[in-house]
Amino acid sequence: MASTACFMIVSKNDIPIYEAEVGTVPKKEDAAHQHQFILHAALDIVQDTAWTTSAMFLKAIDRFNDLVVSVYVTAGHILSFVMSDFIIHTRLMLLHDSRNEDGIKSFFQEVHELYIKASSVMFYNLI
Amino acid sequence: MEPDASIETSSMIRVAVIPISDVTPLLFRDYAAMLIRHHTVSLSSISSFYTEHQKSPFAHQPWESGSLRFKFILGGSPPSPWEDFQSNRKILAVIGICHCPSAPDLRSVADQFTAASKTYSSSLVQRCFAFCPVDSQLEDESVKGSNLILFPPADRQTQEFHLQTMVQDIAASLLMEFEKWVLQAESGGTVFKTPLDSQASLSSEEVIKAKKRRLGRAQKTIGDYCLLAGSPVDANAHYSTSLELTRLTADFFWYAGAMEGSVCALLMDRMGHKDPVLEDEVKYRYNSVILHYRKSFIQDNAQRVSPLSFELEATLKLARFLCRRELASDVVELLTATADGATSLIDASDKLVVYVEIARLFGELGYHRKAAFFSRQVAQLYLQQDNKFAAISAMQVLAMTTKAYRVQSRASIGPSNDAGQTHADGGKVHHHSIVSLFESQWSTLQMVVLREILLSAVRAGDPLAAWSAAARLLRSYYPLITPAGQNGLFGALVNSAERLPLGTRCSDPALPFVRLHSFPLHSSQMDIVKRNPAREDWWAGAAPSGPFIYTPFSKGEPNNSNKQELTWVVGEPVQVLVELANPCGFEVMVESIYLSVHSGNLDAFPVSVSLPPNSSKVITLSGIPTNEGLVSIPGCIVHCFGVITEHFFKEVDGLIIGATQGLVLSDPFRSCGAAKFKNVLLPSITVVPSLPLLVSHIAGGDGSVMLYEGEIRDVWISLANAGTVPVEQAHISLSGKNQDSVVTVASETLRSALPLKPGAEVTIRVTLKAWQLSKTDSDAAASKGMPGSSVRQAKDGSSPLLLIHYAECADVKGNKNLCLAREPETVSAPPPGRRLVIPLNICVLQGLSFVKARLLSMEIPARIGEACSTQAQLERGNTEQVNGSERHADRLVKIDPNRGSWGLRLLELELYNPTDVVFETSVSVDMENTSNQENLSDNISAEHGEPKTRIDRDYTARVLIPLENFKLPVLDGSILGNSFQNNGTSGSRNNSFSEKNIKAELNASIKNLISKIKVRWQSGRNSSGELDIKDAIQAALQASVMDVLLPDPLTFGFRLAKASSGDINVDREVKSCVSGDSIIAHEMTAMEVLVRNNTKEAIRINLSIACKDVAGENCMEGDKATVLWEGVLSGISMEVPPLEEVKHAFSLYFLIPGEYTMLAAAMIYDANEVLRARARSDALDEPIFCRGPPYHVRVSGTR
Repeated sequence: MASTACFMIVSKNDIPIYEAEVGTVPKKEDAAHQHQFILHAALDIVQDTAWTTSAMFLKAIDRFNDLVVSVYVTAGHILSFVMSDFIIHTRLMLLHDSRNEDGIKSFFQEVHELYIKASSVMFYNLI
Repeated sequence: MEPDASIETSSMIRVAVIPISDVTPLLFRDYAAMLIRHHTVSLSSISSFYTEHQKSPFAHQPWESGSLRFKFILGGSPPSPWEDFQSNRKILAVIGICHCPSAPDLRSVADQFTAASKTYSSSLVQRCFAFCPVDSQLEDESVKGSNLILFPPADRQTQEFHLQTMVQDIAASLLMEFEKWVLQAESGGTVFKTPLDSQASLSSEEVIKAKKRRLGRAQKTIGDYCLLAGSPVDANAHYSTSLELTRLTADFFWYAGAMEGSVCALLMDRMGHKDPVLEDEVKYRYNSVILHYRKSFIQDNAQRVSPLSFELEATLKLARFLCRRELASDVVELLTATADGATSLIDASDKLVVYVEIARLFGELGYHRKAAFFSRQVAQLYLQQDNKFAAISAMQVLAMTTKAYRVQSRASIGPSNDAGQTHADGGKVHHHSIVSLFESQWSTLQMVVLREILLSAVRAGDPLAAWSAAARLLRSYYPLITPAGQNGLFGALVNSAERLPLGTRCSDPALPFVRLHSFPLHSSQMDIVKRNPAREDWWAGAAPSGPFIYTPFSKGEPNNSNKQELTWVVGEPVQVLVELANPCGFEVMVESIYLSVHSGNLDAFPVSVSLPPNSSKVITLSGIPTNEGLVSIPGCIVHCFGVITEHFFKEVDGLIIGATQGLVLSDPFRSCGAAKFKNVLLPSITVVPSLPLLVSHIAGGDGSVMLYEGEIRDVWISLANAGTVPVEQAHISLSGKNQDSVVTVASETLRSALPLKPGAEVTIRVTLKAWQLSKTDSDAAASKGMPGSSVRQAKDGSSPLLLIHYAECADVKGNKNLCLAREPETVSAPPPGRRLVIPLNICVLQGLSFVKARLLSMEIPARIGEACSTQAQLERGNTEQVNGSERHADRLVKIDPNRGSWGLRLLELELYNPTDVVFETSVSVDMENTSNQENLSDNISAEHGEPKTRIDRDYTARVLIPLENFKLPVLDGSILGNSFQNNGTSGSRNNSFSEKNIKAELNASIKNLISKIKVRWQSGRNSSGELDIKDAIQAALQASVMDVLLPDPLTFGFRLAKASSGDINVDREVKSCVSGDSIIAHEMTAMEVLVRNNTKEAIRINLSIACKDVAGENCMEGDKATVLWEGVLSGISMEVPPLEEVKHAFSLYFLIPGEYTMLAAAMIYDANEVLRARARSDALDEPIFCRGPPYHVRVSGTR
């Protein structure tokens, strides 16, 4: 079964720094726009929810139609020793239609690890 | 599904407000606005209109605190199929609004209203409000008794009061109608149906079911009316009954309805006070409502009708009730559920309403992105309907999302407060503002939104909105748009512009990108200099007021680039350079572009420019300041793609800074290949009142003047006042390199021409003398020891500059009256002055080049005869030998009065002519000091036509300069004073006359000497000048300067004793002398020898005289003596007093005619140091021998 998944990393000032369609559904431009619109709108909810829980993985925080937004909020302050004006929170957002929570969580953890590696390089400035 | 639903909606009486007859929409809205203000009518206020006909069913009506609430529906609405279910959906009253002046016949108005209100079958009260009736209408009796209520013309307050009364009347009437209805319903057998109930055929089972349910439904409806009547307690009672009954009959839909009503009653009872307990109660009850609505879903008629909309409406009502920041998560949950449910709604308009409500609630919650998302969903639903009005709605909804997506039109942001300001904070653009302006990373979304706005605007037929969207899209996202897409947008811009009236303005700029490039050098010609009122000579040290960080005049002064100031003058055109960029793939035709002046004191001139694809261009925009004051130029007005827009420099600066920081997509200028970004700050520009303006013009063209080295030429510079104010003060000064080359400037001419009226012109003469070029390789010998200086021809930088400072008021301080007359406020700060810089472009060509100088000496004997004539002949003879030219030169060569003969020293200059023209040189010695008649000033020498030496091209010639006339009259010890000390210590002969010591004392003398010698030349190009040979002469004279300058201690002279008082010192009598008086053989000739002491001390000498024949044999002694003598000729001891002459007489008798030479010599006894120094003798006891020059004597045979 084809699945939809749109992955996005959103940095400080809510600026997306990475965006990828990782689903198996054949790409349609309209759909890609729609995915971004949904993720963009979900930021409002992430912004509030992130402070209400200590969990980094905010599962199914928002949804529209059949698409669910799952978010993994990195603990930005841990990274902030690298550069003083570093990101407060980096949000790894995934828009998906499958309900495989565990799979999504481990995906996020993997990405987070890679992200830390990338951003720990002193000279790598993530906007 | 209805928009704007809330829990309280159940208690609102729906009133249709409809226009009757011709009412313009504007007037209708105006009247309706007056009406809408009275949406709540307190029960206490209607008691006077209320009459209780029978016992009221609303037993617990709160007459003191309660109120009736109206919901005015402008234009009315079609009846809802759910009216039975929720009575508040019924239109219970109809109010017509009529504007009498446009509806003269009140009767027909009444009829129209009656007809219109017929369509609202459920309405219980009808009134038609007729505003502004004329007198005749007021008197019209025919409408009495109808529902027509006339509002006589009055002020607004009175009218509003009148209206309020009428509304209260309506409220009272409605209340009475409700009572009537409730009493009827309680008794009667009204059947309550909803679309959910089977419509087609009522089977027996259905009928029984319906009968069972009727009571519960009736109770619910009565409860609804109680709510409408403002009696929550009564309503609650009925709802409670209804809940029981409907639960029993499993009438879930009505159960839910009753529950909703009960919540509304609860809230009404609490009079709007909210507390957590109440909230929990409401939440609990509403969840039940939602649940029961869901339960009432019947699969059978799901295709036709569904209670889903009620479920969603209830959810939205709850969400609206809870809509607070603290309960955001609950609200979000509810809204998300609503959005989910909306997908299964059948009716498209229901879906629309749900999305609208969701968007509104999210917006209320502060979730702007969510709100924007759902707004966009709404817009998409609108766009699915293919009609103009839907498109307009879509466009409007999308316009609301632009803020969240940060693609706002500048118009929606409102007039920028700081648009007119310059970069007060030094051009710092804050990071945050850049991000907010150009948050490019969500560019996909932004582009989609803009594209949808464009699409909807095109469909809606709003060309301006379409233009604006296309402009924003193109300007912000051109790098992401394919060339084809760019062309499409170009087409959209052009198409939209075609539909717009000419000269339409749009707040959003399209292309091109415009940035400030620079403020051009409008003038070394027009520089403005601030006048220091405290100083008379304000031009001294005046700083330039130009916009440039570096000017040659302010070199070394600290420059604060943040404090740039620019002064413009009223009436004088100014220019600003701006750079335009078109990074798109189509040609941009800028129909006109001009400076946007917010201060309004500059007339800007439009220019038209065409920008090819992917190109940038720097253009000059000009204007004329019209009024004094500050000028602010925040940007340009551009007329492009058929619309006029304003482009702010600041925005582009921000964009470019953003591009450098990687925050925005691309720097449009760099992508067009423009130069690197430099942050040009808008200086603070002040306009000052008119100033005079001098314009210079060099006669013969403004090109450079070609001069040979040393050439002297006059340049005529005409100065004209091109301003409108007279020049009353002017000062000329020089600046730049080679200032020496300007010999004279006729400043008096200029001064005498003041005040220079506007249009007047004055010509001043500037005498230039070309400077020497630096040494070339050919002169290496002369400049030995110096490192090879580079050969530099005349370059721009090497020419001097003529600075003319001028101003309007002649006297900064004193002439206040004049200033006062012109402008009272300028007394403290006088109007600035100006500076005209005239570069004197001199191009120096290599002229005669000096090869070497040599000092020659030769002695030419004087002639003894008739004193005067001898002198004359002598002179002639000498000069003939000197340069073999004409005798005019005699005047140059003069006999030394202190020496009898001519011991001539000549300076020989070797000159080379490397040019391609012939040079003629002439030497003149300026003898002003020695003789007043031999004044060889420029003019005289020219008249007399000095002997000229012609030097052909590529030839070398020698020029001789006699030096003999420079001897000092006295041999003074003081001159040699210092040298004596050296004498004793060092035995060296040369050291006694160390040049080092001489230099100090004789410096002035040498300078004087050198300055008197002038070698003038005239080239084949009809130019003339002077050769600069000072250094050469100095070098040549270095060794023998003493010999040249100092006289001998003794001078000897011979003369015929019979000569009358003729003094040989006076050689002016040459002309009167008769050349025939000569010495004759065989006659005793009395002669005198004159010895003159040139020192300041008496000298004792031993004089002896000798006479030699042509062969040089002594002819007075020996066997073959040919001259006999009388008197003493040798060993004559005498003492010569200082500075005086001593005569010694003797006689000669020549036996043979011919040429003889007389010689006098003396041995000096007891020579002092001065004499020894002069003789360069260091032996103390060595006698000093002093020899006079030879004198020629021509002895003729016969008389």
